[in-house]
Amino acid sequence: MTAELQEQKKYTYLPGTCLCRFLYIKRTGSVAGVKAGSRVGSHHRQGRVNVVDKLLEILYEIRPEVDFINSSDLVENRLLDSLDIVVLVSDIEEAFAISIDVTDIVPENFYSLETIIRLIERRGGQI
Amino acid sequence: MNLQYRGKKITGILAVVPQNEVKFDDEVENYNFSVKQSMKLKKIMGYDRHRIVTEGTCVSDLAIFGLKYLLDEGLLHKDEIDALVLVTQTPDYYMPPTSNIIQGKLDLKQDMVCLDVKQGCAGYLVGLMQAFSLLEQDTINKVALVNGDVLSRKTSPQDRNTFPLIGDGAAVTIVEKDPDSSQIFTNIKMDGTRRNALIIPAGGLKVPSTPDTAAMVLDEEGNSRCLDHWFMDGMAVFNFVVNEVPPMINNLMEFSGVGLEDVDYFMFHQPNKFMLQRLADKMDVSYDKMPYNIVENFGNSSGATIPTNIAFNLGDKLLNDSYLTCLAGFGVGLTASSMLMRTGPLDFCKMVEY
Repeated sequence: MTAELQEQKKYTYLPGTCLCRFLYIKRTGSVAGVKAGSRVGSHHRQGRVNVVDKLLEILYEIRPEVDFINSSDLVENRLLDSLDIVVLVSDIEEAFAISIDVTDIVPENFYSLETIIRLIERRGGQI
Repeated sequence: MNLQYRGKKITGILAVVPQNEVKFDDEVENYNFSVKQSMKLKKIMGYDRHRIVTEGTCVSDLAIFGLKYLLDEGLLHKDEIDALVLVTQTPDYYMPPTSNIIQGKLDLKQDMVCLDVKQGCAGYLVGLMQAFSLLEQDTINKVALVNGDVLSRKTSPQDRNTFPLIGDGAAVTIVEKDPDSSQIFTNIKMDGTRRNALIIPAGGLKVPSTPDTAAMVLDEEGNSRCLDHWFMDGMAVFNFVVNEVPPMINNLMEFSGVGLEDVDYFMFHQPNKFMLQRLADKMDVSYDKMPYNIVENFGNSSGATIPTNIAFNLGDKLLNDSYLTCLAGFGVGLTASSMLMRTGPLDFCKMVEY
């Protein structure tokens, strides 16, 4: 395996993989509210991890080709179009038993994985 | 901008839809997306079946069919029509006006006004405003307002953002003077800074159609279309609607002195089920007061959706009773408009197939 491939593998989230482990490996930047290098394996943030896992599962079903972990400005960069957002909102509402207000359906709330998680949390979403 | 009208009313509505019905299930393979995702959209957006004209059919064909039906049925007489207002984005020609073509083919009287108005999703309200203004004249007593579009001819069948939701259609609305009718309140907002959110980029004089503009291109989102096709920035339109429409309706209620709870029906333009349900939730209006079933049954025919909505959902009711109705149209321009009026009893309110 080349160094480049190894590097890519480190940053590729595989659905079903524990996100704590992924975030611990990543160690760079702040992903899903977890500070770089912080030890999250203790599962103190298990609720949030479950939310992130479920959200990623939903997102990959909508756009399997997109690297949602490392991408941002999802709408402006056309990684999600308006119909993807429609499906996403519907799936999120069903998965997390929440209601997303129509005024929340704006590009800012779908800017990145992080902002979508914040939206779910604001609306009381949990698994 | 707030506007009000006195002494005018709608006396009849006829919606015209093409016979040709196409099912979403049969089109799913045209789109560059998984069938599973498309089926989810079907449920959420209300995509089911839509009416599409056969090749070569123009908006004048639908309009003439509707007007001729009314003439043949004795619901309208040629000499009564003092003005013909056609609202469309898909005219037969650059010149002459399509309303003149309709007048000529139906052999209507020459002592009348023919007028083309280029408007889309808010075109029913803009057309009504035009009809009300014409009726201010002593010599104009009856206006035939025609809303119609054949948008399928300018839409890519491989564009998931647009093709599943559109439908072709037209509607004839007869508007007359009535000194006893209630006051009509309306408001309208134009935002040309967001003009590119709904646009057919080529085919006008700015970008004439060429073989290059007809070349299909796959965009980043997976849709194929060319510059001669209609383009929609779905997110921009959605944000425009959810941010502008609820306060616009509140302003209309304040302007008219009527409470939201006093309105019998909210007969809105029909962009899709998702948007209308969200709008109803936001406005705290029950779904049975705000029908959202036109896209799933016929498709979104732009300016013709409101009269189609009225004919399909309230057709029989409006023959005998009157209801306080709030109309709203929003879309291309971008434009948003709403109107509060007492509607009915009407001389006719029905649908026919072309």
